[in-house]
Amino acid sequence: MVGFDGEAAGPLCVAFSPNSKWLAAGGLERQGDSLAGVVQVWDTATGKHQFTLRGNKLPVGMIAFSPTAAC
Amino acid sequence: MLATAEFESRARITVWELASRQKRASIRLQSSAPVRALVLSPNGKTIAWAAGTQTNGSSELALWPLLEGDETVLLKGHRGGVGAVVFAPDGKTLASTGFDGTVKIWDATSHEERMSLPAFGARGTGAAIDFRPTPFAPRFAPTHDKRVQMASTPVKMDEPTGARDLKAGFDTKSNGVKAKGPLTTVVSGPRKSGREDSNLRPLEPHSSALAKLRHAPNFSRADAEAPWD
Repeated sequence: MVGFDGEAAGPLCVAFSPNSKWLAAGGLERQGDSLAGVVQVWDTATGKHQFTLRGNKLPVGMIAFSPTAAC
Repeated sequence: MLATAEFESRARITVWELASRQKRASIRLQSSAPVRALVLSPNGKTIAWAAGTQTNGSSELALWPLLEGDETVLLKGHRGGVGAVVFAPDGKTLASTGFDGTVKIWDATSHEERMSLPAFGARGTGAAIDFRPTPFAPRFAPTHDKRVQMASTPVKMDEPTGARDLKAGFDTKSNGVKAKGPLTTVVSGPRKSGREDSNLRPLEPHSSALAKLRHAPNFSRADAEAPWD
């Protein structure tokens, strides 16, 4: 299980993909000496971590899948 | 596609391609208010968000048509912060609610306000909203009333009488602030007759304000989430 490591880091929001295959959690993680926004995506059936979306400098507080997403 | 909104003031909305796992586009809110709701249209081509702080605070209700350039369209009409926004299942209609106590119905194409309903009274606040699939009837939850209301009368958006029909369905007794009153969550079963009121029944009470509202996948019921219980 991949989580949000570190003090002050953590998830702020979660969302299921349209067919419930994936669960995404947005929040913040420690990157070097600072905190940055991050999205982690897991497979809901296996619990296996799928991928990470990085690029938000600030915490991710809200997350939404497209209803047309094929997952 | 996945959309994210930052937690901070002047939040950035970012769209991610799930296949490539790359950023596709990004835009910053014009308002400094926190994002309260972030939704995509049923066809995935438009993002909408609601932001707001309080009755007289900053506010933003916006549409971002992803395939039509970088410009956001501001939907102006709420006095004060916007608490929630949702697309109707047909993608042509939006409903919003907020700190001014109104529920507003918008044309998602022309961006015009179709109707404004004094849903929660002058001192009420709408914090969550959702549509039933058919007929279109907004379902929404005020924070102060601790009560979920829903329209009991079918709303035909194309008819000018829709506003009157919708308003007639509201539980007007719950208007105003009743911070210590009982919370009633209503669920609706399949619509069997002309009146849906007979299908409404109370659910378990919450002790704190409602923050979220969601449907079961078959739309047979709606649950309200009260995270501060």
